[in-house]
Amino acid sequence: MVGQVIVNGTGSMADIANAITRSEQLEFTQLTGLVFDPNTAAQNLATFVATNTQFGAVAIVPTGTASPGTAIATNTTIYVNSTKTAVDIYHLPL
Amino acid sequence: MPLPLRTISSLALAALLPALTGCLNTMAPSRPSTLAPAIAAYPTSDYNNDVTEYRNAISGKAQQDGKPDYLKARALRDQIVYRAIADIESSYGHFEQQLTVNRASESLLADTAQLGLTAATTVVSAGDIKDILAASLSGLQGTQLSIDKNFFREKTTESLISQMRADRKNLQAQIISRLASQDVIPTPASKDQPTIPAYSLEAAWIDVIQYYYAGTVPSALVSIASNTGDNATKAQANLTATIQSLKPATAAQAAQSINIRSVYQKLSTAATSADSTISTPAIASLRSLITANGTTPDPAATAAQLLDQFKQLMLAAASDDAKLKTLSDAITTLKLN
Repeated sequence: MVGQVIVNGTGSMADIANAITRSEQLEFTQLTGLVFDPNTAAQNLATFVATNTQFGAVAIVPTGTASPGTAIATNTTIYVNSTKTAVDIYHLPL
Repeated sequence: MPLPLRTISSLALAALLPALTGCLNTMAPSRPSTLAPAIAAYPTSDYNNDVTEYRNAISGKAQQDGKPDYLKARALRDQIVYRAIADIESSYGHFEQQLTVNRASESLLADTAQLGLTAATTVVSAGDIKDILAASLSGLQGTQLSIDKNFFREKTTESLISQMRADRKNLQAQIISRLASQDVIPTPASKDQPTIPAYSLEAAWIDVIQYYYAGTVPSALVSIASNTGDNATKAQANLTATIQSLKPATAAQAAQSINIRSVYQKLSTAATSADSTISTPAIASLRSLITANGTTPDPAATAAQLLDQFKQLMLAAASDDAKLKTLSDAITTLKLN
């Protein structure tokens, strides 16, 4: 789904990362940003652009935590388990 | 000789009474005793007892081992919510009937009075009485219009009821679906499903309150205004529609998606290769994969067309767990990964 997409923020970091990974892989898109939605409770807004390049799985870690892969966003605030949390987002190697 | 005004009024009332009583009796069949309001009612004392029991089950206060009994809490939550819904449903049915009858009766009375006044105006001779009758007629017409305008925003009873029913149905479906799928505490993620958020009694109660208010005239008027409202409302609705929601996924589904995408990449490179020893088996694999997913590809389809069909299967699997599993299983069976 290209454009802005709602990602439920009631799950864990892994749940959110899995949802984004599924979308990227099957819908030929690339995540370019993820922030909490200021207009709704416990929902995040993800921005996707169309691409034909395949990326590795998305990993979401607490800000400052080391992770392999390529950084998509650093120190971005999203809802995780319904709580605003600062996270870093990576594409893991394929 | 003109008829006296009192005679006209009495005749009008006499003609109106049978019509009114007849209408009231033909609006609904008699209610079975098992559906009587007293049976459907959820008294406050019952509610308070149930809530106390629910809270004790959550805290483990009532348990011998002091541990929470979430199963019991869930059963109590469902019971409380369904009893409240039944109570609201019973009152709403009566309210809908009353709304129809009352508005129709008011209109009938006003129409009859207007007809009476109009008739009276024509039969009395010119003078003060004729002027008074004419003024009364204008006043009555104005009052009826004002009631319609200020209380009902000139909406018909049918459109108000239709909107209330639609709003209530949507909310009821939402409540029932959440009761069936969500526990009173969050369900941790497993191999097959992501974390399911909690649906506590408190959260359910918020939905029940909304459900009640969805069955009121002011709420229906707001909904109608939202549905047919100004450009800002429409723009907001369009914006909401364009922001889609991402389907939650498990770790296994994410892994399946990566695998499917890798197979697509591999087959895409191979099927479009100039070397027929590479492209022919890749095209055959694409055909088998598409067939395994329930579609028979055109025998004359090109590599590009087959790849496009594969892509459509992937897009469909992005929002459908069953289709994702079928596609993933087919890839495994055909040993394409």
